[in-house]
Amino acid sequence: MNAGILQNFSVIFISIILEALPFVLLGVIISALIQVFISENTIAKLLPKNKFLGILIASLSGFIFPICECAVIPIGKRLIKKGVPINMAVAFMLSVPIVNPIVLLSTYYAFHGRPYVVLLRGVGGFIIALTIGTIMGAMENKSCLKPSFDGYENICSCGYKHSYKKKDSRFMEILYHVSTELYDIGKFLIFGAFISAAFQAVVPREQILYLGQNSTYSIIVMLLFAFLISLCSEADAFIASTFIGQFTLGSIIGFLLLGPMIDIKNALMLNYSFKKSFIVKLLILIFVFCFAAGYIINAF
Amino acid sequence: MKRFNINEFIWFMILLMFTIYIYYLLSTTKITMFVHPKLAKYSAFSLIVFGELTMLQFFNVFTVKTRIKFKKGYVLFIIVLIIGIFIAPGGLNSEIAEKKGITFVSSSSTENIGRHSHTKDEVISGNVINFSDKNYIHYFEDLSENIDKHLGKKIIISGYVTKNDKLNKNEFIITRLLINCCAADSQVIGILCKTNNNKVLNKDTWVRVEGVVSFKENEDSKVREKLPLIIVEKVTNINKPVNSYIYE
Repeated sequence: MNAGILQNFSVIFISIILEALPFVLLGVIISALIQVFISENTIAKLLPKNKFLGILIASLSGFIFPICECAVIPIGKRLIKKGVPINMAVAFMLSVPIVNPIVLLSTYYAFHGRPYVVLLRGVGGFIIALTIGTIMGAMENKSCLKPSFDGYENICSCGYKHSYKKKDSRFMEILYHVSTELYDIGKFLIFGAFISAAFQAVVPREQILYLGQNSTYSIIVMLLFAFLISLCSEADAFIASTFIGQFTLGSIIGFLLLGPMIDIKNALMLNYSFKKSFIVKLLILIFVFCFAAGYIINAF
Repeated sequence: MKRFNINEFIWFMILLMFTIYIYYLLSTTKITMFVHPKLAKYSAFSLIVFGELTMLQFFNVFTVKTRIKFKKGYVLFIIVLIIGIFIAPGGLNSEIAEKKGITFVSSSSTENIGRHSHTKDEVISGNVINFSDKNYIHYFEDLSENIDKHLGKKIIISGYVTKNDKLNKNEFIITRLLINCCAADSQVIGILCKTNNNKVLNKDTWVRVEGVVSFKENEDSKVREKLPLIIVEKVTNINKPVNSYIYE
């Protein structure tokens, strides 16, 4: 391994972390705010009674909260903890990073000559989020979350909140949550960034190009590529557009659908709050549906 | 009992170092080596949060030790700091072009490489095409999409030299790195150049090229398309610019 590759790896590694950090922090802060300020009762009152309406709203909430995929994970976990049903929370986590105005606009610019790509991405993302949300909702319940010490309140069984005898302020409580969640989720962000950067710095693109025109393999390659490079959903459209002409349209759409929903960095970050069985099921469903979308598109 | 918690102290040091590091990157604007300047304000947000967390954590250091064993996760954060401070500062080098591939926008592909559309000012006008950092992308795309319109015009462009095995001995590519969001999504953009003098050009050297616009038929793809080609008249060595990226 020569110095040039190590250098490039380091720059990409640090850049992924620097870029994701503000958004992860934002997600953690919002999660902490929800924890401290919004009770389960409030959430229970706000949820729509009709299940289908609920999941529909969740899948479109990206237009109101255009949050990036990094921030959405701590928020999703907090919502489930507060009683939001799994189907809504999952649909929310999958759709918000795609079905939002910022990402769709970037996609529009990146694929200037082909506006139908924006449609395929938006509609495809919406349908897949809805479907996977429904399926996961049927299969899982609140026990999909890992047990965690919220605020480390009971480390010593005396029941005393050790740190805050004197300054029992909400602000400090929020900061404390942010600090601990940052550690928990940061570990996985770093690990994911490491793998992504290594992939980019070491694997030459040429090696994957020759599979570009095969209607099945191209999709698999692009899905794996999207999973491994962990790009933010604002910029991935521009990378995807460089593959036009070399890869099938279905595979490019698959890339655009899978990237915002899951990638190695996010899959690892999910690990901080969700059980492995949940994550595995989610991964399989995302891959299957994105593959199906790509395949259908290629068939036309 | 001794009021000093080693775990909390380590986390304090980590948070402190991150705060200092982000501050350093922002105040020296070295952050633009990693992310697009438009994202700098988000990093300022990170800085503020880290600063607050550091201050809070300071008080946690002087608490009684709990039964939590040393948290192995701290190592990951420390690795980030080490890589960031000692290795990364060099920036991306030309090896990345071999891994990512070079984007040659050509007459048959009209995809934008950035998020914008062209206004009248940003399109090439007149008979001399002078590339600058600000208009680089616009000119690049205009040149490629409307190659016939610009044939024969004089062109002045700077970048670093890239070569690969597919080129002839007297050909090279004048390259720049384009960043959309962060270094991870960077693209290598380049224009093919053909020189007729024997001056040896090493890869990674920064040069300013003056020449005439021409084209080359692309034999690779199935569609016959024209790639911009510069017939080089003059090559001048220049210093590597402080900021070597093009930002979309």
